[in-house]
Amino acid sequence: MKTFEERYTAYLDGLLSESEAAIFEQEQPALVAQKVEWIKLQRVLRENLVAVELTKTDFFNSQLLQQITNAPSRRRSLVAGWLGIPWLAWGGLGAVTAGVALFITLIPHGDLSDPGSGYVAEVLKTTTIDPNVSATVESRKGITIIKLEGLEKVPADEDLTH
Amino acid sequence: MLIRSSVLGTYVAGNCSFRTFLLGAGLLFVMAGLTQAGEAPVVESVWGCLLYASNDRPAEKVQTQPQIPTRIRDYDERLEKLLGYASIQTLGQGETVVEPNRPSSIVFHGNIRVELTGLTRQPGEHFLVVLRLFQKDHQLIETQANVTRGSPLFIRGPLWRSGQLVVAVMVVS
Repeated sequence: MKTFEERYTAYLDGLLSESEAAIFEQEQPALVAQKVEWIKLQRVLRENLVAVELTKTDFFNSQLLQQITNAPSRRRSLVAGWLGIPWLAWGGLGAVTAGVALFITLIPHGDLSDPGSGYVAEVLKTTTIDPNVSATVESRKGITIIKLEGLEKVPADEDLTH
Repeated sequence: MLIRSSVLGTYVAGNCSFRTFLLGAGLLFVMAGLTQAGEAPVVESVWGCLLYASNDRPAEKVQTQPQIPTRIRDYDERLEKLLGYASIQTLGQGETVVEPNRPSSIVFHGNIRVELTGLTRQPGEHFLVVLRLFQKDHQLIETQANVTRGSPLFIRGPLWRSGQLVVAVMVVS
């Protein structure tokens, strides 16, 4: 099924069969006058429009090129384009930067070559109930130990393994 | 087609992506702040072990007890140097879950136990741990320490046989 536009175009170009043209004219009687005008216009154009051979083509080309060169280019504003890089690229760059920053600030890390570099054990307070017992804190690089002094010795026969 | 995609790209990039990025970044920072800033009690596993430091020769070592546990193997040499003993053996080890407002203990043979009364998360993945060391019913020490996960705190305890007992406590999970 042809659309109206297809049939109208074919009608103007004379591509419809006689029966199809007759049906179309019955359906669209107002367009008959338009076709007459269109045929007149075609005839006038055919009679008066003559192909002119271009002389001095080099001059024509140079003039054309000059107009193209002088035409204002569509430059994106600095604010809109941010140095010509799309917003999406800036967004991606920003997201990666934020990700790296979060990784550095939030993920604990240390020198992998030194097992003790990430070590944190800071004794804030020690209390001993027994006055004979004292506690001293000794912190070295990568290790902290609380040393208790004055404790009674555990009997040697006490089995601490089972 | 090129113009259309370019226009669409500019529209999407200019109106949606940047705003979405800002919103996402803001949400991330808020979440990070919430997870970091809270000094809330946490449920964590704490591991502990009872060590025996001595100068015993291999034949005299306590039966066939294993050497220092894997979790603190990196501290072997430092511990020996700090304690002044030539070898360290493991007498026992255990693990417990510390829940808010609920003390839990790691008990070793000889009724030596570590009682954990508090564990609070601090900013920067640090933990404020409060623990007591008991020998039978006798409290030897109460201490508060700021530790990170995987950093053992050592307590040199009483003498035993020809060496000395050492307790190690570490937040592990």
